[in-house]
Amino acid sequence: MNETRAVLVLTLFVFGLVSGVVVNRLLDTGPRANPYPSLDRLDTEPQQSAQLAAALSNNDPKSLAGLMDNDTLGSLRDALMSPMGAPLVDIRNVKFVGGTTKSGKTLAGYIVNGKDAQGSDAIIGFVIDIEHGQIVGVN
Amino acid sequence: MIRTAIGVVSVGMVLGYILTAFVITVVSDQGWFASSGESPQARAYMVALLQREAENVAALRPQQDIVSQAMAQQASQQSTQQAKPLSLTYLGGASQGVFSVQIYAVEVRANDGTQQLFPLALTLLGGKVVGTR
Repeated sequence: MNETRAVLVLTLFVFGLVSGVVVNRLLDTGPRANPYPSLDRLDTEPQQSAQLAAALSNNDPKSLAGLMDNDTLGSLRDALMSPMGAPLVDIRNVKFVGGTTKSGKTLAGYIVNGKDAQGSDAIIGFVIDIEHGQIVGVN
Repeated sequence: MIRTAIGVVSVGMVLGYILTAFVITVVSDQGWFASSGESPQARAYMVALLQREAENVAALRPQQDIVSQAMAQQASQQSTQQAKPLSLTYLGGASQGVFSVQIYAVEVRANDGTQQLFPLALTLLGGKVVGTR
């Protein structure tokens, strides 16, 4: 009799637990909707930013210097700061994550993984601004 | 007997609800099973930023002192008069450990009628926006 009662209580408890999980998921409204329209995403990586990504991946300062002016290089240096504020000194991976274009202006987003000057693993995002086939900014 | 049964089921339900919420929060904040998809917190931050919801923006940032909060309120009020958002495009993102980077393109119309397209890269730590660029 006692065993039957224990099994019944346990069954009811598990039923309640599962119901709680289900109620939680039903009441979760999910991520906030984007009320704005989205621009079309680029299908392919822009050639200019791909060259920049390759120069970073290959640790090739000579190629990098030929791709943009001094001010833009300064912006790139500022962009390659880890969340801890240390410059990224060992770049392991540069990945194009997406881009968009509007009225002759193209934005290409990149994620960089590597180690910063403090020796910590870091992940950084930056965006290349391309106008009329030239890299004009890094954010 | 019926009262006991209802009590046991109720306790189970409450525990199930709380445990689910706790597990989802911890998994999200720690970046476990993180994918390269858009983070709900990043989306909420961007929408709040564009709609000038200073309190919602503050809630998605690490705790700030009162002066910084007041400055953010002022900046939000000033930007209301400056530009109207036209589009918000998620470009992509990635996670590494507890850090996540999410990149957006924002198109706005300035007061003088000119349209501008600019990027914003968010760095998130534990579900909070710790950096914007």
